[in-house]
Order: sequence, then structure tokens, then C-alpha cells
Amino acid sequence: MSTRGWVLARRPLPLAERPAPGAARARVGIPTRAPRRRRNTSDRAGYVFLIPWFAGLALFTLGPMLFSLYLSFTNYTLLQAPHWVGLANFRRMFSSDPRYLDSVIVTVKYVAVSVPAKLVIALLIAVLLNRQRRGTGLYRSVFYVPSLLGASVSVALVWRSLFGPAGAADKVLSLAGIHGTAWIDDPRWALWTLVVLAAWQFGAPMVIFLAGLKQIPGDLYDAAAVDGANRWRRFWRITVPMLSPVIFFNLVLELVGAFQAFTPAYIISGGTGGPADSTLFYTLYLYEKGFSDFQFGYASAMAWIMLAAVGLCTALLFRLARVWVFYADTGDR
Amino acid sequence: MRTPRIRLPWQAALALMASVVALLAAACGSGPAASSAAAGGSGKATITFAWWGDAARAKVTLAAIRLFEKSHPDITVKTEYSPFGDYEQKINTQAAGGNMPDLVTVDRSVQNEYAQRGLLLDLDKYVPGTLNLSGLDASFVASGKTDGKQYTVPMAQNMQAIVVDVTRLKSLGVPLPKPGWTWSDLAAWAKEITTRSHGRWYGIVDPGTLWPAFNSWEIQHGKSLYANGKIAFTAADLAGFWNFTSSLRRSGAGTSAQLTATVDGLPDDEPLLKGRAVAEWDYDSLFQMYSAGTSDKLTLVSLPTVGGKTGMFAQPSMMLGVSATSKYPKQATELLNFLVNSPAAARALGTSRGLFPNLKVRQQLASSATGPAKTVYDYEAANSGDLSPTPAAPPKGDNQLLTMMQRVYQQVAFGQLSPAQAAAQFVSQAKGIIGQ
Repeated sequence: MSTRGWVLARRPLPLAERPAPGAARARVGIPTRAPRRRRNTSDRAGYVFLIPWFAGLALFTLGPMLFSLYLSFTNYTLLQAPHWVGLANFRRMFSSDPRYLDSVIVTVKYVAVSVPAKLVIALLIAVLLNRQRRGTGLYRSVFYVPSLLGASVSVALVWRSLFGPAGAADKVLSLAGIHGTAWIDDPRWALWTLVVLAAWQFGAPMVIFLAGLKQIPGDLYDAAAVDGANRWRRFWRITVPMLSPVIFFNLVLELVGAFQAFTPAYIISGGTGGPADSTLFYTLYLYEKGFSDFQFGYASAMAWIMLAAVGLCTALLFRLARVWVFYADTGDR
Repeated sequence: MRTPRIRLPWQAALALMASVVALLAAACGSGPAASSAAAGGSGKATITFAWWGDAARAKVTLAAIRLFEKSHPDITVKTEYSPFGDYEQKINTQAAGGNMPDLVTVDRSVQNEYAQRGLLLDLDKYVPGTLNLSGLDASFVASGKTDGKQYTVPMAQNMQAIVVDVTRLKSLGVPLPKPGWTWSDLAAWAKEITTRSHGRWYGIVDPGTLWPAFNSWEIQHGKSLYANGKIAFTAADLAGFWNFTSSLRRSGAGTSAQLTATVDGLPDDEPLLKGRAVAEWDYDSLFQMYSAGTSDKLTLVSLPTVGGKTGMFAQPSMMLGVSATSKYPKQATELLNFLVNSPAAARALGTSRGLFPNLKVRQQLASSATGPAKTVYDYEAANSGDLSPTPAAPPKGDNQLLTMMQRVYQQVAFGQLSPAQAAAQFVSQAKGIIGQ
């Protein structure tokens, strides 16, 4: 008996075909074949219900995307109709716009530091919280809270006052003899306060790590302990390889997210990417070009380059994953 | 074990595409035309009026509009306002969609651009029937012209000034500067404040980020920012200005680079109101807002002079224009006329935008003004004698130079560039923006 037939038989039948109550139990498990035609109509119903979503996708996502692809080859100022300029926008990016390259450098710095920092913290906390202790549930929730607040404007504002002139961070550090400045208003430090803000929001990857940790069979650890492996060794030889698919998943997700970071920099720098362009994220510069300078063609071109770059990074990660990601369930490396 | 492999990351990548690109294109779609005013000509007309500013300005503006609606029962006015930073984006988006507000406030930096793009109505056909401009200063009215046609009328006049916190100044025993002072007087005066307050307060907010401050600097040196729609200042001019402001900062008279970087145009973030500085360069139209933001007594002092010239001029601002696509251009013009001429409007508006356009009404208000409003009227009256002529409306791209000034000067303040290097960089970039 195929599993599939059994599952189909458990579907509720139309009223007319419903057996008498007494016979119901007897019929469960009997392989029946649902008529092909009916399955199609139920599929169709599914698609009908998806229409609003598809319409939204076409209207508000795909349509604008294609339009922006077209705009990237034009100079469009909002007040004037788009005018075809070929590859001029793309050429300008790499030849005569020093701020563009500045924004790329700032973004790469941010991604390269904030993503590993966030993942390492998330993994460490997850390992700590994986043990059964009193109050573990509470701690898990508490550590997750920053991520709930993270993307919001309010936290960026809080960050501003924490690291701003005469902010709390400055006061606490000066107790320890570190007389800093207004951290977010100093180009040497502004970006790093944003990195700290990102790393602090480790809740989402932490929860995923926790779920992954729970799936690692305990007997692996037991066997290793019997063989005399210490905790450090067990972590590197068992936890990390067994967790590598989850690490990989978190890495890709966080990387894509970090490239798109916008809100904190926008709020903290007042939308300018300042001081002295030190927090000029790619997205922020794109926004400035589009919505302050009204160079929508140029901004669209930037968006597509960003898409290509993120796609490339992701593809590269997938390539590299073959080397280090270990899938226990498939047995191959 | 569940291994979330291939699917989710690609979905995330898709989501990225969606968000990055949709962000851009969101504003580009042609919105549905506003068809609310289907009532036609005979019934009531509903017009929209848009401006930028804070809640306090909105309150007085709404009061004035209620008076207008009372005297024009067949016109309903809908209003829109937003902070200056978002305003232009909003209006441009509406203009692209063909539904710009009927009566729209236009900044002087884009006045010519809007007129030349055909977004504004030539108001000459309503003068003098619907729009009476005879009570306004002739050169003030002329500032609303583009290519000889009256596309806009300024709603307010303001003037450059140094705002000073008198309360703190007195507590230090430092005297108020006298009109006719020089920039080196200012440097010494500001240094005195910093010294006597033991660094608790800075003398003055470093004005090196301010585009209009450089404008007055150029005028008092016998030059100008623009001539014939092209840049007329040199890198040496700008380096001179920045050398002076840098000397203020280095001596401690002017605010530190970090503190200057916090200035973003919002009153809450002004070092003057946060109790970090005693003076700052600004327009007198903001004086009432500043006064409301502190319990200290503030006053206005004219700009330091060079060879007796302050470089100050009567700045027409908040240009009012009627949308070229308006269904009710006559009614919108009636509202415009009310906002620049009516004594009742003037009383309601106060000095929330600067001085009232109609001269007779302005005088009536000045004689009865009290508090901060009186300070503004007195200041304008005291300086009206020796002003420089008002420069022509700046060419397209001027607003980009305004933000670039802030950005590039930050690099000077943080020691990343010398004033000369920064000025050279600024001028070469400015030529690319203004020449376009």
C-alpha cells in the first residue's frame, strides 16, 4: 500500500460521499484513489486564492523592478521624462564618482565585520543557552528581545543618544578612564557603533542555532566523552560540523541582510551618511542619489549593481559551502 | 535533522531584489489622478495648499486658512505639510504624477527649475484683479519672476543674523557685540566666552558648514556665489572662509568637529538650545522657534562686517506658486493673495515664516509686536538701511551644494582635508552639478 493513497484517503470527502458514521473507522487505511479531476479543481482553488498575492507581486514588485531596470539606462529626474543614456550611469559609478567607491568600501567593511561578529556571538550564546538550567527559557527570550526591536527606528534613536555627545556610553567609559568623544559623531568611530548595534541583534540567528543544536544526537557527545575528548574538542569536532548547514544558512541570510542595512545609518547620521561620509552605506547613497538629488536613473543603476554583487557573493558562498558544510542526513560532504 | 539548504537563501535574495528595487520605483509609478474634485465649476472648490515646516508653523497656518475659508465659503482648503528635508521629494513625486498641490510653497533654490519645467502657472493674468501686488516692495515682487514672468510670490522675507543667548552671556559678564563688529572681533568675543565658561560653552557654532553664511561672506567681499547661472566663486574664496572658521574651531571659540556634526537643522539638536554654545549663525525667521525652545533670553546681532559691509540682504523665501495643472487656479490665486495681503492672515501667521510681504500690514504688526516677534521686527528695521541687493534666484542644483558644503567641511573639521584641498574638491564637484 502506498503511503500516498493512504494520505489521500484521509482527506475529508464531500458530504454526498461520506460514509455512515459506523463505517468510517473501517474505511481508514483502505487505499482509495481520489479522482484526478477533483485534485485539479482543488489545485485551481489554491491558485485562485493566490491571485491577490500574484497580482501584488506583479504590480508592486516585478513591475517596478523591470521599470527600474529600464530607468538604470536613462537619466530620470522625476520632473523630466526618462531619456536613454545607455551605459553612462554604470560608467560614471566606476570612473567619476569617488563617493560611490567610498560607499562601497564602507558597506564592505560593515558586512565583513558585523556578520562574523553577530554569528560568533549568536553561536556562543546559543551554546550557553542549550544547557538545561533554571530560567533558560527566560534567558532565551531576553536575548531575543534586541532583534525584535532591532530594525526599528526607535532603537536607532536610542543608539544615537547612547553613543551621542555626552551619551551613556561616553560616561561609562570615562569611569574606566577612556575619555572618548561623541562616538557616532566622530568619523573614526561612527561605523563601529553601527557594527555594535548590528552584532547586538543576534537573536534571530541565535534561535536558529539553538534549534540546530537540539538536533545534534546526544550519543555523539557521549561517545566522544568516553574516548576522552574534552569540551573544546567536542565543540570543534562535533558541534561545528554537525551545525555547519545551520551556520551556512545563517551566514547567507545575515550577509544578504547586512548588505541592505539602511535604517540605523539613516537615523543615526540624519540621512547624510555623515560624519564625513563615514557611515555612507551603499543603500544610503542610493537613497540620497534617488530621493535627494533626484537622479533616479543613476540610483536605479546602483540598485542593479548591488543586486548583482549580492547575488555574486551568495553564489560564491554556495560554491564554498561544498567544502565545509556537512550534511549528516545525506552522508556526503 | 532539518537542513534548510537551498531554498531560503535564494528567497532572501529575491526579497532583496524586491526591496531594493521596489524602494526606487515606488515613487515612479504614475499614481491615479486625483478625481475628488469632480464637483465642477458651479459648486464648492476644494484646493490643496502645501508647505514645509514644524508643528508650530502648521498651527498658525491652519488658523490663517480657517479665516480664509470663512471669508470664502465656496472654497475649501486642504493642507499638507512636512519637514523641509522630505518636502521637496514629496512635491516632486506629486509633480511627476501630475497632481501637485494647487497652491505650493517652493524653495528659492528650485524656483527657476519649477518655472522652467512648466510646473507653475504664469500669474500675470490674475494681476491686479485677483492678485494685488501693489502693496509689496517692487524688488521683493520681482524676486518671484523667472524669465520675466511672475511665477511665484514670496510669502516671507528674512535676514541673516547671529543669534545670541543673552542670559548666558550676562552670567559670564561678556558684553553683547555691537553692530559693525568685524570677524576678528567675533573670534575674540567667542574665545572669551569659551575661556570664561571654562569650556562649558563654546562661543559660537562653527559656521563652516553653512552655505548661506558663505553667501554673505562672498557678498561682503564684493563677490557672489553665482553669475549668469554659473559658479562665480573660486576655490581660494572658499578656502579663505574655511581657514577663518577653522581658526575659530582650533582656538576653541567655535564648536568642536563632533559637536558641529550633530547639527542637522532640527531645533532639538542645535548646540545653542542644548546649552553647548552661546551664539550661532542663522536666519531671523527661525528666531521665534528658537526662543520657544529655551527659557533663556535670546537676541539677534547683525553679521560681522568686512570694510563696513555685512553681506546681509533681504531674502525672499517660501515662494508661493500655483500648479500648472490646478483645476481651480483662480481660487488658488485668491488664497495666495490672502496670504500675502490680508491683515487677518498676517495676525494669524505672526513671524513664523519671517516678515509679512505687504508693507503696510507689516508696519502695523511691527508697532504692536511683543516678545520674540518684536525682536525680529526691530532687528529687520535696524538693518534695513544698509543691506546688499538681493541676489537672483540660484541656478538648478543649488540645494545640492548646500548639503555638499556640510559634507565637505566635515572632512576639514575632522582633519581629513586641509581647507585648500577641500575647497578645490568642492569647486570641481560644484562645477559638475551646476553646469548640468
